[in-house]
Amino acid sequence: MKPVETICVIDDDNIYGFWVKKLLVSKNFCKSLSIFENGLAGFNYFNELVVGEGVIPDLILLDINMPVMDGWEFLEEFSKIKNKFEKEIPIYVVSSSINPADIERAKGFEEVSGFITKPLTFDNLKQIKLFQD
Amino acid sequence: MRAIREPWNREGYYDIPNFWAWDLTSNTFSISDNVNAILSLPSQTINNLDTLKSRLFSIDTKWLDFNIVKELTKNENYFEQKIRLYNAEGNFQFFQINGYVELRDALNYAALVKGTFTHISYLVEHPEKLPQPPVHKTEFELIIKGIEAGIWDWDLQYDTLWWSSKFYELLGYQDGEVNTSFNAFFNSLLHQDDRRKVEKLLEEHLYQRKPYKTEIRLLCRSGEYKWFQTSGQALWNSEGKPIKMAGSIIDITETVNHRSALLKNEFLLNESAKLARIGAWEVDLITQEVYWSESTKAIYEYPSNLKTPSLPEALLYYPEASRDIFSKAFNESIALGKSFDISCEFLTYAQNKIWVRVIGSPLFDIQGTIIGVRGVIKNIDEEKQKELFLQDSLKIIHEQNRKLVNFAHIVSHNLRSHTGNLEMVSNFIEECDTEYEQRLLLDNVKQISKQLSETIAQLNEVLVTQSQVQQPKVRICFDDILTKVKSMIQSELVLSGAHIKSNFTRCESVYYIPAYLESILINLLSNAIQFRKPAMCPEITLSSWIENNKIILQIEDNGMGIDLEKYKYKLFGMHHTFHKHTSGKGFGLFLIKNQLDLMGSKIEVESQENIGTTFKITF
Repeated sequence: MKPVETICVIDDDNIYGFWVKKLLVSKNFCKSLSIFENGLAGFNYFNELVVGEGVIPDLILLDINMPVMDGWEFLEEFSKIKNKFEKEIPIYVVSSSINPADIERAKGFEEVSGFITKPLTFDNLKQIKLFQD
Repeated sequence: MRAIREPWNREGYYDIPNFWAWDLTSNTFSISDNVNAILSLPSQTINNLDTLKSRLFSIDTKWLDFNIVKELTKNENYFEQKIRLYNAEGNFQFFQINGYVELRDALNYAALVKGTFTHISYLVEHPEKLPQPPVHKTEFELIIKGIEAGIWDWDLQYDTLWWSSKFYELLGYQDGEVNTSFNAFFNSLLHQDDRRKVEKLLEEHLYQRKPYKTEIRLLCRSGEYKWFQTSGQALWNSEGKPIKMAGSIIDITETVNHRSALLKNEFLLNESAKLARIGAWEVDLITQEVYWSESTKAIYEYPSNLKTPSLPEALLYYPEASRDIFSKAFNESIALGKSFDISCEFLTYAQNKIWVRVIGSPLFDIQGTIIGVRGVIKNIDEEKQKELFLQDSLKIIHEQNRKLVNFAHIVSHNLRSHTGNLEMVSNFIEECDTEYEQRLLLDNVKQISKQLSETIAQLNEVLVTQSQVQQPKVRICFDDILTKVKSMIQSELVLSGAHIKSNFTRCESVYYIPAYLESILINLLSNAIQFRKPAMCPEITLSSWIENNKIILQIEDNGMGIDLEKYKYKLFGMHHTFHKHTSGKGFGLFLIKNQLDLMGSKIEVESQENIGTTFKITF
């Protein structure tokens, strides 16, 4: 498996943030990682990418429940700008929720490629299509 | 013995009459000797009044009575009688006696009567030899054939009875198949239980001229009785003696069966209506009159001896809201010819409110104009009360269920977010190379366990809140509880430099569970302080009043405000607040929403970013 260039993690949980970075880098899933503490911070980054220079992430791991702007709002905002990127960025929703309503709702977004229930592990990262070749 | 000339061998009528003469003054009587020949008696056996009388059938004796003849001829010169005389074998023979007064005495009584006698036994026994009833003209024949009635014609003089072919048909016979004498009719065909009635009615008609019309049972060829309606009219001669009677019979078996079925159905209907608490009603649009059946009155607790109210009066028995429902359905029914089926409340005569189902259909006259509305009502109060209770229960159950599911998701989510972290961290225990990482890992584990405890404590608080709903409600003064809450959050107040103003003069107290009101005030005040505008002292104003009979408490601040368009649906939720890791702040609104919900109170919020937030509680 060849590591991807950059993965973007949007999650307000700093404990999760620290260890997910270790997991992704040490297990060689990616070369670099950017973490945003809520949907708005994540969206701002992408919004700047539209006009400015920067690395377009290969994958987004998105939490749902966050203050300021939650995962759902991020998805709505992101869908408005996604066509401005030269490549398609797969988004995986990573949440503690096991509520079927949340899973259904996530599937309703065409930007969402999958739903992963926390904790994020090596095994369920391998489920991501990007890492399957 | 002289040969007797057959009197009936001539086409037509009677034989040439034989003669008799009676001198009433001397009471001498003479008669042609031929009478002895007819009776196969030796010549001169009957030759005077006495010898004639000795041969006379006893019932007929009166017809040769001196006084009767005198009476008969008082105003009339002619008379006729039928008599029976015994022949040699002891069988009687019918004779027709015709007489006329030839002489009268000084007192104008008959003094000498003379006449003829004719042997008519053959004709009595063979009535077909008699001339047919005179009604049988072509038109009448057609009518007789055409109508669904059997026609009968009864000659009282000759005691013969004629039936039209329809009569035979009605009884299931071929034309002329049975003996149609009156005797046969009376003794064989007429139902035993109807005989006395017919006899009485015939007598009343023939001698008192009362109308003859009745219902009788006649035996049919099949052996069963059928119901007929019969009526007839007699013809009287100048002496007032009935000589003829004719009439008709109509098969009314079906009608009688219908009638008895109807009676049976009516009985069943009444009884079932009583049992099912169903009543009938009808409104006559022309007279505006209302009809209520007995069971309707029973449902409406309306005295059965009281006159049914008119339409406008009846409408007043519907409570206002129901009256509109009923009037709308009723008017539509009249206007569009539609049926209706509604459920509404009714105020009974005894002032009890009951639920009734009213079904109605328009009534049309022969031209298709709506002239009334008819229908049934059913007392559905018991069912409706059950239904309403069930609806309420269902609502409560749905709401409880929704809350439970919601709570289960919250519990699951909030616990899972910590256990998920714990699992993730523990996966790295073996892989932590540096001392820094190992220390961080242990720190994280501690942090996670602390968060987990907090979460569990909060969830417990929700459960405690649920159980507190059992606590008694007491009268709480807003001033008192505010003072208490202020002391509980004193350090926050001092640190933020908050100003709290209050005005509870319009409504000083509320009847509530103290723990809830305390929690509500603590959380709302804490929020106002926590989400103050940076570098600005929070100003919090509390006020209370009464609106639409409900107590209102309002808490207004000058804080950061909330973007309600974005967060309206999340404001009282629990989800994202936990993730901020600001030790459960924001959990408060979720908690107090729960408490208010449990009490059936309402909380509304108005906010403008950078201006402030106002919470309005309706108790």
